[in-house]
Parts: sequence; C-alpha cells; structure tokens
Amino acid sequence: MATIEPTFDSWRTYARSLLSEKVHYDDIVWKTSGTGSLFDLMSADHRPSPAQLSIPQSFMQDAAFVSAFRDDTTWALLYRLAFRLIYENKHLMSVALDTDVLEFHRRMRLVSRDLHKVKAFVRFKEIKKNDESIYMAWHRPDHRVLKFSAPFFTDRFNGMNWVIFTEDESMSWINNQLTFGPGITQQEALAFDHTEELWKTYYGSIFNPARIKVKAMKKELPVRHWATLPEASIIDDLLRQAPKRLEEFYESQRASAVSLIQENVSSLSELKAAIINCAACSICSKATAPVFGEGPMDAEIVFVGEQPGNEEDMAGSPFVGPAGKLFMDALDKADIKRSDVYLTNAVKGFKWKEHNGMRKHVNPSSFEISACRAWVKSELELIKPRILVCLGASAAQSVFGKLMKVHDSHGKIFKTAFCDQTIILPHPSAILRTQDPEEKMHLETRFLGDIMALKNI
Amino acid sequence: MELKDKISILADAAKYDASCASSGAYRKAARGGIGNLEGSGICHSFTPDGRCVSLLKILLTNFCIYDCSYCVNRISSQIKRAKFSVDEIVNLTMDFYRRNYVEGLFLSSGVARSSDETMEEMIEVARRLRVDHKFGGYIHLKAVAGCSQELLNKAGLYADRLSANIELPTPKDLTNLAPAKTHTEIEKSMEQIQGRIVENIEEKKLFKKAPQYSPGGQSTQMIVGATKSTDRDIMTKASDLYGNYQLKRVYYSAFSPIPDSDPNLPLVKPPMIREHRLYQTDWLLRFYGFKVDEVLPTDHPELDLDRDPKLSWAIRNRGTFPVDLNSAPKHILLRIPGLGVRNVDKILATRTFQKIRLTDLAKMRVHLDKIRPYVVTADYTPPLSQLDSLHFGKHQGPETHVQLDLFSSFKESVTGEF
Repeated sequence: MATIEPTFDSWRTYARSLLSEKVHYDDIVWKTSGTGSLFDLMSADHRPSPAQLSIPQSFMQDAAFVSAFRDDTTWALLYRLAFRLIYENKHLMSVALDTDVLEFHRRMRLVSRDLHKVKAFVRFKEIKKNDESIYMAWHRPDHRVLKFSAPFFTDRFNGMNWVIFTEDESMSWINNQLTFGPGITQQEALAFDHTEELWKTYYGSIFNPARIKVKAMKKELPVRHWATLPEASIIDDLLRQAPKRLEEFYESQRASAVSLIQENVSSLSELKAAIINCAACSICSKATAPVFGEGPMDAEIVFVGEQPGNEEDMAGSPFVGPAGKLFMDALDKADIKRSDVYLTNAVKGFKWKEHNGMRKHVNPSSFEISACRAWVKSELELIKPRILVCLGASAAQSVFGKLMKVHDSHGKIFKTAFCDQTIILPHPSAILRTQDPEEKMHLETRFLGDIMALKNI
Repeated sequence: MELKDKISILADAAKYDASCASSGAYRKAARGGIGNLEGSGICHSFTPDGRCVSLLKILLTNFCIYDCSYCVNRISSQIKRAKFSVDEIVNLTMDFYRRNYVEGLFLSSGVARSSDETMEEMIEVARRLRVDHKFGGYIHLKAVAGCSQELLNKAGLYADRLSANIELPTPKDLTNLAPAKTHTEIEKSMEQIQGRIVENIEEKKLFKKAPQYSPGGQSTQMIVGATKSTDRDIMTKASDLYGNYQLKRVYYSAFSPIPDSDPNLPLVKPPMIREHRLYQTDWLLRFYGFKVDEVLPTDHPELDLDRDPKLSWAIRNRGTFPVDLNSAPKHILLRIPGLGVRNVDKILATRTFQKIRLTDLAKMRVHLDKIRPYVVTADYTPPLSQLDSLHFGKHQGPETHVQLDLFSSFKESVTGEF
C-alpha cells in the first residue's frame, strides 16, 4: 500500500523507489490522503529525473498532465505504464491499441477537455477599487487542471489584473506576477457586474427559438457548470418561452401566408379574381376593393405606378384620377394607346386617412410594398414586357427590390428580373404637386419627352 | 435608445448567420494589450439551439436598403430598427472580452445608406479595437455586398477573417429572393479578397514585417431550404467556391422563418436534419476525398435524411467492399462507413506492428454490427451474399425511396433533435 498526496510529485517520489526495487504493479494499492499542495509541479524540475530508470521524458510530461485526472485509479495506471515501459516494452506507448495505453490517452483527452472548459467557461467579474480594476472568477473544473491553464490566461489577459478561484486552488496575475494560492470551497458572493446583464441580453437574443436542440447544448455546456456561468441563469426561461414565442410568431404570419399566390393562376383575370382574398397587409380592408392592373397580356410596355388614389378606388381602374389624366395626355401626345399598354400599381389598395372629411392619400410603407410585391411579380411574369417603366420611388422599390434614387436613375436602362429594359421615371403626380408654374411646365415637358423616348427603345 | 435594447435588436437580427468560428489565425498579445489568438477558437457558450457562442456576433445596424425576402432586415420588414455607434461596439467588445465571454467580434450590418459608407464604419470599429485598444482577439468582418475593392483591402488589415455571403445556391434563387444581388457581384468580392490573401502570402515571404491580410482566410454562408434547389445544387456550388476562392468554410444555414416574412417563403420550422446532412457531406468533400458526383450523383440529387451520406454512398457502391483493413490504402479506408479519420490513422499506425482484428475495432469503439459487412480483418471475412443481397442496408436504417421534401413534417426536422 502506498499512501500519497494527490499530486504528481508525491506519486513520482513513491513510484521512483518502487520501480527501482522492481515492485510489480499488481502488488501495490495506491491510496491518496489529504489535499496536499498542488503546486509542486512547478518545483518538479529541480529534482533528479528518473532517467536512470529509462523512462522517456515525453511519457513523464504526459503523465504529469494525466495525473490531474481526479480519480484514484490514475496513480495505479501511471505506475503500471511506467513499470511496463521499463521492464516489459520500451515502445509500449506506440502500441496504440494496448488497453493501458488506450486508457491513458482517454484520460489525457478528458483532462484536455476539462482544461479547455477552464479556458472557455471562466467568467470574470470586474471589481473596481480606487479606479483600478481587478477581474475575479470562480470555476469548478472536473479535474485538477487550473495550473495548466496559466499560460493561456497570462498571455490573453496580460494587460489586466485577475484572480481565478477553484475548489482546490487559486491562481492570480497581479502586476504581471503569477502566483498560486489555496482554493475556496464555494463561489463567494462576488460583486455585481453590470456587464453581466448586457451579456445575458446578448445571449437571449442570439438564440433562435425556432431551432431548439437542448441535448446538443447540454453536451457542450454541461449542467454542472451552469452555476458559474451568468448566462446559464436564463436558459430555463428561454426554453420555457420558446414554444410560446414561436406560436405567436406563426400566428402573426398566418395572415400574410394566405396571400400566397396559387400556383395554378395562369391568366391576369384569374389573378384579378384571386386578389380579392389577399390579406397580406391591411390596406385593402380599408379600401373599397383592390385595384388590379389593366391591359392586354401581350402588352409591350408595362407602367407601374404607386397605388390607386381616391378616384381609382371608386372606379376600380388604375390611372383615372388627376395624375392619371396627366399621364394619359402624355401617352396621347406620344401616340401610345392606353389599350396597348398594361397599367398597374406597386400597391393595389388605396391607403388613406381622413382629413377634413376627405379621404387623403397616404404613402405606402416599405412593408406594404413588399407585401403586395407578389402580385406585381405575378403580373410581370405573365406579361413579360419588352419595356418596363417604374413611375416613382415606390414602383422602383417594388420592381428592383431595394431603394432606388429616382433622380439618379432617371431615364437609365436597367436589367431586372422582370425585364431587360427597365426604366425609372418620376411619378406624374410630382408635376401636380409643383406650385411654381415655370417649374411645372419644365417637369411636364420633361415627362412628355420621357414618354416619347420610350417609342425609340 | 438604451444600449441593452440595441443589443437585443441587433443580436436578434444577427442570429441567422451561422458562422461563429474564430479559428485559423495566430496573434500574440500585445504588451499591455488584451487578447490573443491560438489558432483554434474557443466556444465560450452554447445557446439552447445547440449552437456555440464564440464571438460577439452583432450587426452595426439593421437598417437596410435591400429587400432580400429571406432576410429579416430587409427594407420591407416591419421590425424595430437600431444602430450602434462605433464606440458602443468597441466598448462592448472590450467589456465582453475582458470577462472571457467571447473570442472577439463578428461584425455584420444591413446596408444603411450605401455599401461603402457602411463598410467604412465597420472598418473603423476594427481599426479602433486594434489600434486604440491593442486588441488581439478575433475580428470577423462581413464584406458588405457591392463595397469597393479599396475597402476590402483595408478591412483585411484589421480583420482575421472576411466573408461575403453567397446567400443562395443558384443565381436563379438569388434573382427570385434577392433581386438586387447577383452571384457575379458577390463572387467578385470573394475573388478580390482571395487575390489580396495570395498577394499577402507573397509579401510575407519577402518582408517578414508586412502587415497580415485576413490571416484566417474567408468564408461564406448559403441559406438552405428557402428555395427548391437540390442538395446537389448546394454542394456543387459549395465545391466550386472551395475550389475557386480557397474558402475556409462554407456555412449552411437552414432557412429559419423570420418575423414579418415575405409571403412567398415557407413558414415552417427549419429542416435541421438536412442542414446536418449537408455539413456531413461538406466534411466528406474536404477531409475524405469524396467528389460531389459520388455523394450526390445526378440520379440521386438529394441526400438521404435518415442515414449519413457516407453510408448512403457505400450502399450504392457495394462493389468497393469488403475492404481489407490490413492492406487497403488510406483513401480507401476513409470510405468505410463508421470509420473516421482518427481511427483510420490508428489502424495505419497499428498494422505496421500487428494484424488488425475485430477486437481491435471494438477497442476503438467502432460499432461492430455496422462495420462488419464492409471489412475484412485478420480473423473475419463477411459472407459475400450479404453485400449481394437485395435487402442490404435494410438493417442500417430504413431505406427511403422518396426523399422527404424540405417542408414535410419529418419528425426530426420539427423537433430539431438529431
């Protein structure tokens, strides 16, 4: 029976004398007593090496690491391997499938993994004293690995003062000086650190409730470490809320999902019939009815405007109000027949608010443009126009799928998903809104010029 | 708006990007500074979705001029918007890093006004961390779609990794869901980054002190399941990207329904099992010497969901088996279902000294029942009738003749457990 302190050095002292006396491993029972000082590894270099017993130095290094494995059978395993290395097979460690070698490597992996967890799961709290910060942490490793983590922490957190406590030992880095000390048995109440709240907020927000994988999480973030991880305190809440969050989320989506355009819609008239039931946004519920596009399916030119106004809403046709009249005049002058082109809007419903007893036009939001985009898309895909004209910013946003600067893009020819010759022009209502007669004239002339130019494309 | 609210909005919006790796670069801590890199990153935490937290993954802003329908930040979605100041991100990164919460920062952003303006602000965050705070931790910057080459050149001087997201596997998918983006434009950014990386390696050979450019290389992300593209389409694209731009990683992110989503997108829970199979396939391509055409031949363009891709390949290619563990070369050993790279290395190391027997496989914790039909050992030869049997493979997971579609209610794809 060999009773040792649970340290590598203590084992080494006993093992050296037992090995030199060639005591067989089956004849020893290893027992540990007390906690011992865990920092003797640091002084180990000053002792004579067991080279005379011809044990490879690399084995001794690995053995020191494996000795951190918190299980009394480790001492017997180390002795057995040392004995066999000296007296049976000096290449023993190369026999990868030897039972002892496998177990040695298994423990080495587990210690490595635990060491990795120290690096990953130590959480510092900042404690401020007279304008100076010290960072404190308490961590519960499975094995006696703290000292092996020193190079990691001293390099990474070189520019700060810190202390890490565990049950067995503590390690501190104060003014660039590394020292070891005793451990503390439980996490002492450390000062509140405001950043932990931000960290928990971050942790809760980066989690996607649509992808729950509790088993996978627990495998990597073992529950026994939760007590020292601030973010772990909200895991249960996150999990509890996840189904409800998802349910609410799906519920809120259902309304827009019904607007899915049926795959079998193959003509404009079928689309026009289908749009009555659209609930993708709330505009149409307040309008008389959606105003669908108008014109032949083989139209060469498609004009997309913003949305129907008061008169369009009542008539059920696009471009019949004041701006529409201005637009029709321009088409007339350019010798383009209304019945030859397809006229539609980025948003199909009249969005309005009451003002002095009148229904006043309100610009559609980006969300509404997007919600209605499925309809614009299906119209354009059926017609496949040779020329596609977006009148104004909303129309351009619908067709291009992003904000476009109307002034910068004026008259340029773009290639879009719907048409190789897509053009952006200002909406004719801009002319109506202009007060200055000279400016008005200028805009009107320019608009007419733009429409005429379409014939030459 | 309070910092806490900004974090909750801008982390929430960043959670759909699968990348969180912090590996591939080395950096010694600067004297008096904070932070270093050891080559392989550390996962500091795991969220209940089983994914690791290694970086503070956050958006500079979720305002965006684009209207990509798969993206929660698209202009048309009615979510809350927020924007960090450069200082806020810098301080948050430093505060989190000092407490050992993270390995560094992964900064992405919506395109607030223009690509260049947004990219410049992201670079400024990285510059302040590196220069003002002597920060040696990991910095991953997203290359904003369409930003200038000049800015990409600058970004890589502070970042450890750059990434431009390919977004979707085919140009057609992109046209449908992100009309303002093109593969050509995205791949141009990748090419520019790759060009600078190669140049930088040459510079480093000549001048040891030449500043490093994106030492952790570049990566990309593909969204899976928002369109009908096949697994073959996806892996072909990934394989091309690995080949053309020497990407470090391609991330596959199962399309997750997003708040306020476009009516044309599937409204289902993400097909996690498919995502998992894609990662397994990616692994086979990168570390096991498989080609896309082998794992996903034209007549088999979808991965089996109920068994791993290597096993599926083996069942389709029974002629290759059984393989003699005592004589087969490494690349053949790597094709045996149930054997990983580490065990193959163990077999190779052991067989120079002694013959491999079934008990050796047991010691390596290989599932004997699963591997038996495929191998010959010193003490075992499988009956050939087994491989020839029409029913072969039945005991190794049910044979599915119909690939379950993405949107079906396949149990695992709903629960997400695998």
